[in-house]
Amino acid sequence: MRIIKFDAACLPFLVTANGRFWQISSSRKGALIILDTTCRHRGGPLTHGQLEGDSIKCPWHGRLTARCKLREGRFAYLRNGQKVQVAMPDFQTLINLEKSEAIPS
Amino acid sequence: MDAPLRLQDHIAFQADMLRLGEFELFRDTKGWVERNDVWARPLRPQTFKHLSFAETTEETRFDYTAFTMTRALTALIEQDFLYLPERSPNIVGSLRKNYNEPLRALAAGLIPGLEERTLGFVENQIYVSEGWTTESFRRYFADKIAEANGAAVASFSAIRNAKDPRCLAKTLLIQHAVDFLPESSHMARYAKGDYGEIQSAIFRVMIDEYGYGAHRKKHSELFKKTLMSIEMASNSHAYWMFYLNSTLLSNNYFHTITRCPEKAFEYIGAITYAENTFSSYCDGVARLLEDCFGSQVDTGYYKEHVHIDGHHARMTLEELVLPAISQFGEAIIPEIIRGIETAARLQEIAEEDLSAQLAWMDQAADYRKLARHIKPRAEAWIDDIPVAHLDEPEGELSVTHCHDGDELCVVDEGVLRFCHGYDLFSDLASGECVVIKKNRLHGALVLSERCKYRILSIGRYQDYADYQI
Repeated sequence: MRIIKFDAACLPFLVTANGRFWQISSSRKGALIILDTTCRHRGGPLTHGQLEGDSIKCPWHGRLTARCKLREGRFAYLRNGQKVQVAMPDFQTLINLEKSEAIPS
Repeated sequence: MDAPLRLQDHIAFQADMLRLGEFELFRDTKGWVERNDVWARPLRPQTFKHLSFAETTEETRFDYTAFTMTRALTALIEQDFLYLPERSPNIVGSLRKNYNEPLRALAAGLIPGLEERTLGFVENQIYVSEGWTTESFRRYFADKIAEANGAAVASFSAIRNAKDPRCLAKTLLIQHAVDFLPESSHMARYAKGDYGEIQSAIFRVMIDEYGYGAHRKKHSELFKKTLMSIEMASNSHAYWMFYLNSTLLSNNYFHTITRCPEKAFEYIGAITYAENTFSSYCDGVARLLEDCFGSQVDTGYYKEHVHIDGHHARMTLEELVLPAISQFGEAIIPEIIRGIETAARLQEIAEEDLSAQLAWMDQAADYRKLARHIKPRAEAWIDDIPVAHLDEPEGELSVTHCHDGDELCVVDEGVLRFCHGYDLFSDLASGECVVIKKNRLHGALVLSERCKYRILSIGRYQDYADYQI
């Protein structure tokens, strides 16, 4: 278990934890949206894929995944102003994303 | 329908604040320090009719209206605390005058609105999700405490490096006094009720604070010794005028979460955070006081807390928080974290406010020099500046307050004793002036038979100056 801490201004970004890719972004009201962006085919990072209509094309094998099928992760978190903390089991790495790279929620 | 109702609420609230201003104990007092009247809480009620008591925001958190409401909340929420003077020729009459049903009824109506207006900007910024487990909470808490106890305290270095460290150290002690003299009185609200093992765990912390009934060991008595060792008044709220907004805000939060039993788990979080960070803070204060005052100062209060809060840190976590989670489930963890985060955020705000006030006081001479520098330009542009003209008699005291922008105070006739903060004054004669920095606590006292002076609302001194402080 690791508590990852960051400034909300840094959102969105990608976290690898538990062998999966999690995209963390913020809703307009400030709540966190933590999406499992791991391709169901061979586990590729969909955040690095291409948007095609309402789907994302995986950069590894080109499989399309509907955005509405992305599962929301149930991680405990807190937000205090701009400071955010998320409890992540098996946290591995954090990868910055350009806003344009993030999958719209 | 919401908006008209909100407007009606606002109008009713404004009217209640005006009624509050009619009570004698909130009127202006005659001196900077109140050594006799333990109930006086000057709120500058003469200004209420000019104020719109709207919700405080991040941007307005140190403004005049926010400060007024925070002061009012402290005054009202302590109406269930008994304060007694050392002596009184008519104690029963004094009690009936200062504690009474009309004031309690008014307070009951105003307190929730004042809490919402003054604390909402902090509480609304905190969101805690569901899904916390005991394991993730333990990790979060360990990180939080390690971070807090490892952080440098800016106000300590500001005091050590000041031109008059003793004066500024006393300002720090005044901020402590609001809570340390009626020590643990808010905690005592949770001595009441019937709620199992954790009630006794709270009580074990409380009996330490109360010295197990041995008066000389009561923590507030230890703090009084600290104050008296450096010739400071030791009665509660003697230094009401020198409490900063954020000091009261933080204290009010602990009142709120003990006043409302539905916030019991939030309180458990907040007090656990406080007890786990206080020991390290007190160690720093003890060293600071010894650096400033040498062997003269009695630091027994702080050293006692270095010791006992080592125990309270463990007791609050292991005997309050974790048993409460075991008993009621992990669903209460967000409430506990909310208390921790709110208490921590309020401490940050308090430290920021105090550091700014210490800097303002330390630079008192610089703000007088700056005033002389900008006065010609401000007077040349006088038609564009809102100006308050004052003509006051000898002894007229402007209860300490702050402004929402920079102001230029210019004395035209007589002598005005300008107060930059506790025990720090500049006597301004005719033609002399001072810049009053936005949001900084200050006051004034007329020393001459009469004094005519002007307050120019310049907004930003930088617009008139060739340099910055």
